[in-house]
Amino acid sequence: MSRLQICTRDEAPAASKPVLDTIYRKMGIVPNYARLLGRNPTVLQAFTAFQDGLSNVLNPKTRERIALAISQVNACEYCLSAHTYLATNFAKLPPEEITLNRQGQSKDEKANAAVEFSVSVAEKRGQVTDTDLNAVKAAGYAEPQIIEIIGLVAETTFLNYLNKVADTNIDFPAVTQMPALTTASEGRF
Amino acid sequence: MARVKILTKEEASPKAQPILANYEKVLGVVPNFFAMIAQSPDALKAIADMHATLGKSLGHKTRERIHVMTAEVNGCSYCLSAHTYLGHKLNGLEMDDLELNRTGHSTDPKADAALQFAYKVAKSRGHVEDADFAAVRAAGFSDAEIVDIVAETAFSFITNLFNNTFQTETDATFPALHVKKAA
Repeated sequence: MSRLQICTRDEAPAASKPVLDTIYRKMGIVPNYARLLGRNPTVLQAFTAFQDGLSNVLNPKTRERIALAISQVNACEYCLSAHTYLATNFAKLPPEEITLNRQGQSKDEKANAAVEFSVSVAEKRGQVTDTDLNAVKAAGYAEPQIIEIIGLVAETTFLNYLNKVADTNIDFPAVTQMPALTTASEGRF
Repeated sequence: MARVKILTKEEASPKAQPILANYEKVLGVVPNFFAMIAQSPDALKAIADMHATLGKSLGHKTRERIHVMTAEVNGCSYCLSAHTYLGHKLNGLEMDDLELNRTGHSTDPKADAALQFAYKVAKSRGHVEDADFAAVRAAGFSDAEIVDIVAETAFSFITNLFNNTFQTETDATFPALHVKKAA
């Protein structure tokens, strides 16, 4: 059971309903995370605006790769399940790539640098080294794109924390934890 | 020196310029944080939209308190300096309250419960205990308000990620403060 109440679309405050309906049109469902945010129309609107702003940065595959890597760093099972589903069905990433992404890597050389950098940003709470920054630049990412990578870390972080706090019921095919999972709850970071 | 180019208003793209102009109008200065993000107009718009929308239901005092707290937790002197200034000058928070905020507390009893909960979220990355929920609920916060507290904590965390990564220089407007210990 979720620790915060997740309302149905019809129970949601009036100001949340149009936002939830837009999500329904895009995804064919109104996922629990959206209805969790929908309890508070201000938060739902704020996050949706944030997400919309970043919806075209980099490319769809790398957006999902970063979302998977960061959800793993923050040990959010809900988001790992959701992004595994989205990565498989929308970004068309193969299972072995999804596994690599969760380990903070990618088979694609350029994407690998973005994913590694995103993990450094999340793990170190932004206190990255010059070496971290130089590596992502050397892979061909210019400053605006590095800003966008951090934007994507931010987007995932936002939902990781909300879903982790709420213990949102998983409404996507649930992924199992990997044995090598490093979790925030173990106090590693 | 910041690790990234900080644009002037004039150098920013047409999409970014009105956003920067709005910050200048409200704050009297374009903070380096926003001028830096302006290199990606998409990212700037995303952050400005979230910034403008959040806080409406939580209230600006506790919003600033949360920003001061996460800045300390994540070791972000830029955000600590900016939000101590904004909390004090624009939102009337007392300096002794702002000092307590850095440790996850407040002189205001209800805000103190919000800050303690937010501190746990920031420290543990959302892995809070049932007892933390009981405490914040006992202080009178509803589910919708708890969503707000977590959202603001996450948003402030986001600004820390950017400013720590790029070592943004503290604007002259904000008296420089330093976090007690790097995260």
